[in-house]
Amino acid sequence: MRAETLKGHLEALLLAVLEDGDAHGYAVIEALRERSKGLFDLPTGTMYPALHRLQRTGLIDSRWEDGQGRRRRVYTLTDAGRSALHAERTSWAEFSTAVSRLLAGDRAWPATP
Amino acid sequence: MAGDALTPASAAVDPAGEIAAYLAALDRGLRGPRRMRADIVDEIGDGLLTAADRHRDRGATPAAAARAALAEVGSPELVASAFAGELATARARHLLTALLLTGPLVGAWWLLLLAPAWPLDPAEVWEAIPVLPLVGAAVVVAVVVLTATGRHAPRLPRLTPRRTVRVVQAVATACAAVDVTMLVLLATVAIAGTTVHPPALMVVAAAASLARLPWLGRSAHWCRRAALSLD
Repeated sequence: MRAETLKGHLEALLLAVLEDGDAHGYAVIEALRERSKGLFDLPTGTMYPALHRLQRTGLIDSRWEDGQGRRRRVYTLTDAGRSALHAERTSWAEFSTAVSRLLAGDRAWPATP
Repeated sequence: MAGDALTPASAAVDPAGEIAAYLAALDRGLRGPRRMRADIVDEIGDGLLTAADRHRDRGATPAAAARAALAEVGSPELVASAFAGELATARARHLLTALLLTGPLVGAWWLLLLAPAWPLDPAEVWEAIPVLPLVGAAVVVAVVVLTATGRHAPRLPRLTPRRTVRVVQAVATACAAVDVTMLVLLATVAIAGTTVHPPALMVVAAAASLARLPWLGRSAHWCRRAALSLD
């Protein structure tokens, strides 16, 4: 999938992954790749900035943990992030239903005379 | 990937060294607050080592695992470029915070020097300090940008990193214009010999503005360069 196509939805997808529980950056990115069955396979380094953007805007939070001789940043979904994810789901459901209907050639709408 | 491990070239590769070299290159490519850069390098480093561990668990040799992890993450230039917007936004926010904190320290001296006697009459204050509307506008803009790029951002129109640094450039330039205007006004009355202000207060107010001007100039210059690089 082209990076530009994914870009507009990346933040909502990252929120959805974090809904299942706290995770470090690589685990979030790996989950995104696995759940999309490899379709969302961007360079992992380009996805971290989206996590930072989500944190700056208060939709996720992070803490540093020590382990295996190195620092590890662990992300968690905030209440604001949960609300934003809910809004994204509603918006996406409406959008995808409308696009699917159009692409499927649904002619249920009244034709213009 | 496993085939790479069979080649003589990869057999000589030091996996830890390759990852360390990658992180050093990434660090050189990042532009922004030092602590944030260090955190980014640590986080990407942790991701690389975790990825390499996964590849080793699947049977890759250490060299092949490191190489696969490096291939997944993207080149240091690509990753640094992906972080450019967040780093620029962070630095722009630091600059705005510094401006909001240092502004009153400078402004208080000018107010003490030029404000008419108590109780303050707004019209007289306006006349004595003609740059007040510009100061007010700069403060409002700074607060709006800090809010729109912070934790309340989802409820406000999104500010792109480029637009953020452009606005901060305008705020820094406005503050510099305020300082220069006040210094010129003070110099004018001092040269004309018509001043009735305490000399010590004049020196302190002028010193405060003069001390801030080079920093304002550097900040505006950085914003201009950052905005161009974010195009």
